[in-house]
Amino acid sequence: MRALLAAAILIGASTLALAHGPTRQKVTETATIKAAPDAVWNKVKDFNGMAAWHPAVEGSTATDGSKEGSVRTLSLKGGGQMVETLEGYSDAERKFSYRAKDGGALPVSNYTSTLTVKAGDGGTSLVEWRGAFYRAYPNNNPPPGQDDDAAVKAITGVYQSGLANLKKIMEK
Amino acid sequence: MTWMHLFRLSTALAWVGSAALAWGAPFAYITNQGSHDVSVIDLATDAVVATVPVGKAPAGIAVSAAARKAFVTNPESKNVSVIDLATNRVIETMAAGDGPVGIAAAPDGKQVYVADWFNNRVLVFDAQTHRQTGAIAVGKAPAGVAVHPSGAWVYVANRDDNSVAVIDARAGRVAAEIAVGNHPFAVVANPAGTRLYALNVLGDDVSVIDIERRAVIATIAVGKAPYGAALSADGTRLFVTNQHGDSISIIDASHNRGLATVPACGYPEGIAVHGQRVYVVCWMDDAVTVLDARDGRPLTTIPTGRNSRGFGQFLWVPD
Repeated sequence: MRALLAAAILIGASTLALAHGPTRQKVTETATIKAAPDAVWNKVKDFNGMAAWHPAVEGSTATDGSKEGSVRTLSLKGGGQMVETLEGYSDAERKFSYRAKDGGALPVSNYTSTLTVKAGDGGTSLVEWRGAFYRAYPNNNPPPGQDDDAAVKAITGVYQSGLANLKKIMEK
Repeated sequence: MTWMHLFRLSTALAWVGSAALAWGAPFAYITNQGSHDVSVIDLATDAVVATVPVGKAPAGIAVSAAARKAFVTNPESKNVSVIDLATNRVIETMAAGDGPVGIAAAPDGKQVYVADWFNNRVLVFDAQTHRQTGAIAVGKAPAGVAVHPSGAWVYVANRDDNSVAVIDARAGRVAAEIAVGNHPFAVVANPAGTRLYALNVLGDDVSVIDIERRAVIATIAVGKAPYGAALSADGTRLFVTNQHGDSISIIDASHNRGLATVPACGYPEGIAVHGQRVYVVCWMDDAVTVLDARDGRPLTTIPTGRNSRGFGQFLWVPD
């Protein structure tokens, strides 16, 4: 019985890396853009077209365009990539949601994200980009760079730089 | 009538008045993982009446009307905060393993069961003395906890084993394991004690378990990433939050079939039903959204603290 228990504990310890810690983090960034919602949506709606508006994305390939289930691979400037699956897509609501295969180039895990273009005041657009994720380190006591702060900072940076550039392009 | 009589009468009246107020309306205790506190909502007025600081990153909640306490798991400070429902203050903090998440109280309010995520066990606490009285080895990554209405059985979702452990509460050990769907996180028992529902996060479905036979008798498709569940008082309706669908699914629990999936809010997690109202905790929105239980129509939204979870039994319906 004791041996069984010890074996159970060993098995448990070996699978810990597959679990994630219990505290999910989130980031929501928004930008008001002086352009019609349909025009902004046209710029961002291609799941395989992020390189056209995000300054950190160099190239993109996708298995099935903007159809649900399509898997895109983003290659990032300065190296690294992200592999993401399109989980939900609504042209009518001008939004799509995707899930990252793993953290990829970012210090996160179990990462999902939604981009929405809404109508703002006076013919403007309100673009909302939100993400939910866990830090890269799945267990207690994460080392620096793999903790909650690092994860939040990284996603915030991706969203802010992307939205700032989108605003610049659309308001030109 | 003497002055003393008058004094006694007025204090008695004041006491009756405040007690009536407390007994008349249900309250919701919502854990806010991002602001490290609990929002107490008076559901008669849909307003936050207290914000209770607890441990770090509170997630799980078990409100026990019988114990007159709310028990809150704090996974990052690795303990459980005990809130006195009469005063809305923390009266004790109990050390609880390395990653307490799921939590449930026995119906008689005598025991509290806490899933210790990183150590694959369930910790048992005396709800009166706040002392740990046991630790029961279960499966991998134990998440949600539910107690049978009789108090005799405790159910734990072994998330990474795709199973539910059935704990014999009196013997303090696992009596059976029931294979369910993919990645079960929450479990909830019906009021009659005949059915147990396990929510399979990666299967996008719900396993319906016959408690007596200890077997899955139906699997019901819901939205993406089902996370929290609650039953109507008569047990005929099951409401499920779909975390990645921003929706809730309404299920006919008498016939094990889905009736509707309706929009709710951003990343809905915890859920409770009282009368004709469904309370949905919206993690992304930092709010509780109130829906009509009959058709899922939105009624109102109540702001909470940050990253609200409400994972567990968060309603206090004073008797």
